[in-house]
Amino acid sequence: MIPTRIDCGDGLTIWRIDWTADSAGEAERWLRFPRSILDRIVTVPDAGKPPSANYDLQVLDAQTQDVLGGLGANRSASATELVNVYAVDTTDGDEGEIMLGGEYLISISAAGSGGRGSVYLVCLAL
Amino acid sequence: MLGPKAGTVTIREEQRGNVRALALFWIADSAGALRCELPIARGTLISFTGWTNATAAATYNVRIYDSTLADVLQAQGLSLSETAAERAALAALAGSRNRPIIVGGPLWLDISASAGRQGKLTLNYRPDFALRREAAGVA
Repeated sequence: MIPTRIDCGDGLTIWRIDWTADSAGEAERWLRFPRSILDRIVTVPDAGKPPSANYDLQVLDAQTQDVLGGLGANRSASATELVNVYAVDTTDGDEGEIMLGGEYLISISAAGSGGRGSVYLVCLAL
Repeated sequence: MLGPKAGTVTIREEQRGNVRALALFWIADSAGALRCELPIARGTLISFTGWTNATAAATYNVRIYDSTLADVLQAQGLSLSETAAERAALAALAGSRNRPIIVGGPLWLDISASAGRQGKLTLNYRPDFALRREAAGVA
């Protein structure tokens, strides 16, 4: 995985992570984020070496919990997809923001051996 | 996915309080395409209005791409009437809630319409992220 940080100014940062799956169809990389809101994710499959259909993206915290709450699951192998992400309070179902801060594991799975793509994380600093 | 520049466009920007109105007078090429870079460094998209000189019923599509290669309008600019004035308040649906659309440059405008069509698109935006931060409760 190769991360690129695009600083748009005023606290808006777009992380681009280009990835290639290993023989198990997986790719992962730790990234450190400043305190920020994760606004949306975009997944772009590679046209020449696309991942398997319904591959999964997770953003795992130190407790190996997916902060996306499953919203990165089942990505398209052919289309660019944008997802406005949000957190759900499991006690009352209330919806809120996904707050990042510290290190997270960006994880791709079920992508097929050698599958490629890019992930974008759009973050707004607090 | 965005192709090379196409069509012609004249851009005029006005400041209206906290909001900037970007007026784009556009002419599609013979393939019905208009593609150009938008002079927006960053901000929060609020609304747009669209108009064309068509007299026969048809529709056209407006998309805006950012560095993520995704349409930041999230399909809210699709299937616009060429014969009626169009207006849309822009929002990003997340779960059951709407929230502001935040963008960072560079941004590209992509219009697909009838061949040679002329029109005006006005994009209203705030050049900051105050609305998004307020929506997140962290302003």
